[in-house]
Amino acid sequence: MADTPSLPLYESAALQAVTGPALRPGGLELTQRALSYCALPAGAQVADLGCGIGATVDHLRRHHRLRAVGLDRSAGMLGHARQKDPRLPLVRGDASCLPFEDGRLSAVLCECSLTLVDDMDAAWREIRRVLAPGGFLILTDIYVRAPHQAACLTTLPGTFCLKGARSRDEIAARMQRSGFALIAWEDHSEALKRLAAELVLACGSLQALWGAGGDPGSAPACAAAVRQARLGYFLSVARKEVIP
Amino acid sequence: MKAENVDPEDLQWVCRKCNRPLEAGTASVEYMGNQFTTELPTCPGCGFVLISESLALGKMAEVEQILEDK
Repeated sequence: MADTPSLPLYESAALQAVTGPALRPGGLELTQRALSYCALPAGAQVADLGCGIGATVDHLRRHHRLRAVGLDRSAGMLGHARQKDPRLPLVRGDASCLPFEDGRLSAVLCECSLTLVDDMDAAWREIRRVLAPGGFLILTDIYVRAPHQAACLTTLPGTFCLKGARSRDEIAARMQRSGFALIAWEDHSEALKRLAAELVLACGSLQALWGAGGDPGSAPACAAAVRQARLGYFLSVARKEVIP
Repeated sequence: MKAENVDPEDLQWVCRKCNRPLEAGTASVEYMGNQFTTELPTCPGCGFVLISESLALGKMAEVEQILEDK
């Protein structure tokens, strides 16, 4: 693999080569599936947090006529997106401090991005703040399918990108604590497995990828932890509860 | 998806049926309902594909392990 060693996995050329512009398991098919739970009217304002190179924002604007805005903390990804389409409304920022007014958005999408946020508590507070009452949170991400092994991920050294993965129960409890009612949860682990298999065929062992974003010496420990935690992929849709 | 799964040494093999040297070519690999397109040493005559021992025991074994959820 010819990537710069310091690049995180989601910014690597290898991932883009395999996934295309969506940069996540399941691609836009899962976005479509999640939207089918929401029935958002044309013109509704939505935000894609961790928009990468803007594939979802473009899709939402073009095919659903939504007023979609993208947010990503990576200047490199946003630069790449602007080269492709300078008209896409994308801003640099982090989910823990959202540049939107209270109750402004009909939906927030976090597609394989929330586990990468440093301040998870702040991100959940911010998502709730910017959503209108009854607004939708579309969340797709990696999760731990062997909950009793979750600790093996969290105790890994460095900035391993999958450290933030949690079990289904933990994610559901977090939603509830944050004022969201879960309306749909689907397992799409096959999409994650397929992506992992494609990455192996394209780049070699996954172990090399785990080392690419940080300390190569910790790659074996990361690979072992990923196996033990039996990582999967989920799609969920939740609504902001109206608290009387 | 294109991938570099062709070792220059593999291209020294000659197809026994066609008597032609193998070339890098696009091949489809199917496993457990998943189809992957990759580049492999291929006979330009009959389409025979060579999967080297290192590929079978390396990348392909890892892919199997992932898809079988082991």
